[in-house]
Amino acid sequence: MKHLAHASSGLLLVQPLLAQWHDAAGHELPLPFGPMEPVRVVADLIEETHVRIEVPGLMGADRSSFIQVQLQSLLPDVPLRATWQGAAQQPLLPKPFALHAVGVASATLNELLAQQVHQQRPVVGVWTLSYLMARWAGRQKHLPGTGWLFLCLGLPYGMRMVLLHDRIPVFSRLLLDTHPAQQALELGQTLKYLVDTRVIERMDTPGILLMQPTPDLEEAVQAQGRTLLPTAVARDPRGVLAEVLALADARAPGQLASVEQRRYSMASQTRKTLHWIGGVLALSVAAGLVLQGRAVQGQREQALQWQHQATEAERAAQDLRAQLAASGTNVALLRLTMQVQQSQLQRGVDLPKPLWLLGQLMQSYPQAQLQSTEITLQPQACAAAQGAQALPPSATDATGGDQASLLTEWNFEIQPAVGLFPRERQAMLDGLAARVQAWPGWTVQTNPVQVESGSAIVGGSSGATESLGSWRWCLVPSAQGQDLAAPGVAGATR
Amino acid sequence: MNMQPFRTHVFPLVRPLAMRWGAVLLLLALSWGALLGVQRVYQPGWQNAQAQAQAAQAQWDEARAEQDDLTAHRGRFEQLQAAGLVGADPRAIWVDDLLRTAREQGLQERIAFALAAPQGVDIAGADTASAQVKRHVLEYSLSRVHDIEALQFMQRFHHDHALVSRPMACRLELPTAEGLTVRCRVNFLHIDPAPAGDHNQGS
Repeated sequence: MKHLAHASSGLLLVQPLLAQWHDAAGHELPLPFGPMEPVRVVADLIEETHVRIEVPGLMGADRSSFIQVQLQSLLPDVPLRATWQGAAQQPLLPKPFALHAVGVASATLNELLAQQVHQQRPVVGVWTLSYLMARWAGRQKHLPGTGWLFLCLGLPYGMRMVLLHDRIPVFSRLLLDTHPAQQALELGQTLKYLVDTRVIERMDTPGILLMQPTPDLEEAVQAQGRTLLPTAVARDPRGVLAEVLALADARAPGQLASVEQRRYSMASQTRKTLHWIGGVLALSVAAGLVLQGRAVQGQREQALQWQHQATEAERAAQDLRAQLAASGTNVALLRLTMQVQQSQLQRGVDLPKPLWLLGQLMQSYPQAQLQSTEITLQPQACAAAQGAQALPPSATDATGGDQASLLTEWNFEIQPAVGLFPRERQAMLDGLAARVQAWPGWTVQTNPVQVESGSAIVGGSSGATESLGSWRWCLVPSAQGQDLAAPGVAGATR
Repeated sequence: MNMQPFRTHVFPLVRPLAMRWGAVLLLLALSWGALLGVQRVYQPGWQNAQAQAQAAQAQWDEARAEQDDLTAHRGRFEQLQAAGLVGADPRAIWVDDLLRTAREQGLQERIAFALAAPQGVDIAGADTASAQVKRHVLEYSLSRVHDIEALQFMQRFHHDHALVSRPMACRLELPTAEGLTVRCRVNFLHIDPAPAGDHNQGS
């Protein structure tokens, strides 16, 4: 955003002969544009000094103070000065490093800047053409990234020469002569000067790049026996100079102007930023406000609806209660009654059918006598062998609990006649058991056949009375018997 | 970054705008806060309305369920009520019926019975209905009777009280030439709608 804003602003190229105004598109203007229009200033002056600062292993305020002292020492009374490396490019740890700086001590430039500030013209920044050329070279992929590079940019009023070391500008010279032969001669003398002053070692040969050469200049330089780097094709149709000047934006290194000189530009940018941030925040808060308001409104409407529902439901409930009261029936008592019927008054024992089955059975076996039969409701049917005894109260009776789950149990005992031989007795038992087993609707849980086969046979002619055991069956209804365990074997009593 | 130059030279130029935006944002924030305050103030009332609606709905559901039960079971309830399951204590009636049935079959000399003291039955709905559910266990025996006589007696007596009783056990034993002995246990149920405090526990 800032880059676009700056690129759309005009430019003022300050050179020794005059200050040339350019519009945002880079076209030269005969007169300055409006005083409120922002301007980027590019200085291409002779009074340009490059210095190198060796920073020891310092950090924080110590490092900043040291750099300021060194700048003041190396560039005394030079108000416009800047370093190539920004704060972000300096090492985080306290280790030594080198800084490269440039200073421009030009009264003309200072007066021009003061005049612009006085007019409240937003000055975006002030850059040296040398640094912009170095930035341009840094973007050329065909140029070497390390070593020495000597840039020469032909200008309408002369030629700017910049020496780069590892793409960092370390020396610059402005030649105010437009004659190619003289320019080539000065180029050679400049390089010789750099070698003589040991800026460049004698064995080092910097690559020479004529950024926008004329054929005459190329010939003149090559005539000195110097090798030139291939010239880059200018992307800007107006030439390399326009391309270099377009690089003067907020991200360009070496911005010389102070905050005070740039205050109107910075204020303009700050206003835009404030508008953006304020607008976004205001919109966000307003959107949140609207959503919150809708939520509150929704809750209020919901509450009103609830109140309405409550009124309606209460009225309906009262109407129903009135109907119930008019019926004269105590519903709680009705429910209790149905509950009692469900849990306590289910179908009880039923004797006729079992007695009919027993009667049929005993008619077929006149030598057998029915001793007893009993049908009961028990929590657990046929759980244990029981002899003839009085009706026992069940556990459920005592506790008064739910009696809906009681099970039907049918017991009966049959006594064989006295005097039967063991084989006759066994045959009778087998026959009885087979008949009982075949009764429809009943399942035998206790069968005396298994017990009889495993017990002693007692008797004889000694005159002693035989002590014969009775046979006991325990049955449950078939539907109920499927849920019970396998038939038990304890079935005979003696 | 040193902010001092910015504060000194730039901020005075943008201070009015910054204050205007600050005022706008503050106004919006205050509006939001006021809205939240309104919401916080009225929230309990809204929640109360919701609770009232739910409670009223629950009342209506309960009334509807009672009406459904009344519609579904009223006829049966009146039958059971008429049969004596609900109402005054009918212990004497049951015994009278037992003796009357025996007399009508000529078994008055052969019957013996015992109606035990009532037992309370724990049923969940009893408290709601302010009623007591009681079980009366009747044990009777018929001695020296023919099996057909015994069956007729049992069927008649049990049928007459089918709505309020449940035959729990019957035992026939020692059949002889004179007849057999029958012992039966029948549970009679009774619901006393009187409140617990008004009820005579000894009856």
